[in-house]
Order: sequence, then structure tokens, then C-alpha cells
Amino acid sequence: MSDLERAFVQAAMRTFDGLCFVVPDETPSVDNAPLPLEGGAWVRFEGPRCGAVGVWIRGHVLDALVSNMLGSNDAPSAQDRADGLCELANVLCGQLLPELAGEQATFDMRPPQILPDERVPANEKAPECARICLQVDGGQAVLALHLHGPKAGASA
Amino acid sequence: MALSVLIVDDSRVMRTMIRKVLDLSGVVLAGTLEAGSGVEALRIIQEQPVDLVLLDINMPEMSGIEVLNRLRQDQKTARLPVVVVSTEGSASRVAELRALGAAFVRKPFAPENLVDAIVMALGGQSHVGPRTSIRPSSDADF
Repeated sequence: MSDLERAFVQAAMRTFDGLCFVVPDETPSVDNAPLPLEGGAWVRFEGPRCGAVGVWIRGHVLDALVSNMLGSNDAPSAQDRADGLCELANVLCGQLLPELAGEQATFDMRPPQILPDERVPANEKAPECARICLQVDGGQAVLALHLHGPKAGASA
Repeated sequence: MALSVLIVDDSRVMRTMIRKVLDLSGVVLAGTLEAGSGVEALRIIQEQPVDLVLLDINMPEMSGIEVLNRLRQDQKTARLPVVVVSTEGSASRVAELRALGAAFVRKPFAPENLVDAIVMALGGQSHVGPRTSIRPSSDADF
């Protein structure tokens, strides 16, 4: 695993633990047995590095994650599921950015967008530089980082 | 003094989460109000008494930074205590917010982080009683 992938995993661990009170398995799994997709979200950022972070949740775990965020045992609404996905992407992006350019660097993060499937948005120009699949509470979280410019591994 | 707190975030999930953390944090509350956008937040602040604003930055249409700037430009709200609750927490961003008289807490946050930021925004005044854990695995009623 590269330094950048390791930083990505650690950012994901902090995000799921802090938002959903769920700790993913720390070792990324080989993504060769995808579970059914529940939804995804995409956040673009600009600053010393420009790119985007994507989050896709698979395997009937999204309701539990969002219910934990809401502190409720009720099944979340479709809007809450979308909001929860967006917050996961938003917080993951915010946790990762200092790893890309240091704590001093300021980034502008765009409001998250919901993705209808596992495809990266067609207008995304930055190439993918990291993709990991984590086991989360019986489901899967697939996380992707797209970055413009030189590979960020050296600064991660 | 019990506080009337306005939570500003475009995500209903995040507003709910912040409200639950606030309820369990020990901060003495007169009530909580919610706004889903910067425009709605400014309207509420004009219409109702608000003692403290918890403000997201990354919102469509009007960002939290713009809301904060507008509050500071209005004599009636220039000194209104604000805690920015955001995912992007670089040192320069935090310094920018401090220069605008706002405290900062980074998402995701523990209740004690939120309380510390609230106390800072209120100029060190304490409105805090006993707090409760928010984790669902605990015996708290979250």
C-alpha cells in the first residue's frame, strides 16, 4: 500500500468512526466481490491540489450508517440517505486534504453531489490516483481519490 | 443564561447530529433553531433572538463565510457569537475565521470539542452543565 493509500485509509477510519460510530476493517480488501450498490457521492476541491473524492456504499449498510448519524432506530428517509452519503464524502475529503498539502494549505470544497451509479462523473478531468475498498459493518465502502498534477504520494 | 442556538447546515442529517450532540453536551439551552441555507439563517437572525450560531461553510448558493461576513457588516449582528462547524480546517482557514470573530470546530467532532468552541465564541462565559456520551454503544439515549 502506498503512503497515499495509507493516508486515505486513515482518513476513512476517522470519518466512519467520527460520523457513524463504526470502525471499518483497517486492511483494504480486494474489490472482486462487489455487493449491491446503495449510493455514492462526489466532492470536488480546489487549492494547492485540485481533484475530487468519491464514496460509494454497497451492501445494505447505508441505513445503519445514516441511522447512527441521526441517533435514531427508524429507517432513514431517501433524503436523509442522500444527505448522509454527502456528509460522508464531505468529511472524508476534509480529513484527507491536509495529507495532500499540509495543515497550512487552504482548500475550497464544493458542495457534494449524489452519484446515480459507480461511474465517476463524466466531466471529471483529474485522473484517479487511489481507490480502496473497506469492509464496513457487513457492507463495503469504495473510496476514490482523483488528483490533478504530480502524484501526491511524496507528501502523504 | 440559557442559550437560543441557530444551527445552519444544508444537510438535515448534519443539523440533527449537531442538535443531538448539543443536547447531550451540557450546554444550557433555551432552544434550538435550524436553517438549511445561508439565506434562511440571515432571515431567522433578523426575525428572532439568537444567542449563538453554529455555521457550516460548504453550502450551495451562500457559503458560511459569506453569511459570517454579512453578520459582521451589520451593526446588530457584528458581535453575535458564531462557531463555524466545517470539514475544512486548515490553519489559514481557522485564522481567517478567528479574524472574523468566529470560533471553529472540525467535523466530525466530539461533544467536548463543540463545548470548547462554544465557550470560546462566548468569550469564555460558561453555559455548560454535565455532559453525556453520544455513542450508541453507550447507555446514553442517543
